[in-house]
Amino acid sequence: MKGIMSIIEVMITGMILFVAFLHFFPQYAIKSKWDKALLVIKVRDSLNTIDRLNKTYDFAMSNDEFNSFMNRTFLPEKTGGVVVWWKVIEDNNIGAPTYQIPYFTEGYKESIVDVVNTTAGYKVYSFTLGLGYPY
Amino acid sequence: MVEIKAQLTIQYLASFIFFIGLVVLVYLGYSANIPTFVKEVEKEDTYSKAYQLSEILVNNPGQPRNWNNINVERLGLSDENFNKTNLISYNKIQQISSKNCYLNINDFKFFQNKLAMNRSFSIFIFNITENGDRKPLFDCTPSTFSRTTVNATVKRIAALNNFGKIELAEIIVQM
Repeated sequence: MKGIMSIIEVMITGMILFVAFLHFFPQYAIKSKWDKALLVIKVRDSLNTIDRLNKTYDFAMSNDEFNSFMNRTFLPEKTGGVVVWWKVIEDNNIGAPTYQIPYFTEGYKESIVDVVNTTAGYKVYSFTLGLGYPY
Repeated sequence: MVEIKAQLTIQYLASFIFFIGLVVLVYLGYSANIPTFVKEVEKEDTYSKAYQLSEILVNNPGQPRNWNNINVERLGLSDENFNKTNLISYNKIQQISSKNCYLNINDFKFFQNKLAMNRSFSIFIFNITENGDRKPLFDCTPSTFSRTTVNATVKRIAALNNFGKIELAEIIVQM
């Protein structure tokens, strides 16, 4: 019986040791959020660049021009990755065409507010650009 | 004669070996994760540095703001005349385009010094043409830079002020 007791003691000690190790040295797990951050950077850069190119109004009014710009900027053969994009014109008092939002798994969008001088006077609208990873 | 009994029983020996085995198992299980953990932390740090470098290049005019290749103290490609984000100056790219990081290590050290970056990196600047082709404007890759060990790549899109004509550009930083 003495021998069995010592085995039971060791097993209890082992369990205490195991729990103590887990408590003082927890299992580390690295969860990188850079994929998401880089997508956010892409959206902001693209939106700022569209504004610097003075193309916000043109892209709001023409889906073809917008698609052409996005295609050459995010050409999969050149960038090594595939993204999908969409635009939404809010406060649409400029008569911009609607744009079909594609399916995506993870996406991010940013907006810019623009003022345009039309024949009917100044009009304010917001241009939202979204980028996402395809579904 | 004094007889010493039960000093080392088979149960005691089994318990001892079991205990030591358990300690070793727990230690090995824990220590096996350490290299992966350290590598992942280094990768996070590298991404952070690459982003920092790209941000300086794209959104900072440098010091002095209208620097040239003689008086430059800190590099930054943002166009100082407009002071806008994501608008870089072709004139500034021209100022550094004569440097050859691949053939001359001192040229690469110049960039390290002016960007306050003590690690190896690679910078590419392309003009994106109408059909999406990337026309190289600038490339700084030292001969010691190994593409197989690249941990982080940060790509930035910006407008390029080509002496009044606004074009599209891509800046790639690798570490």
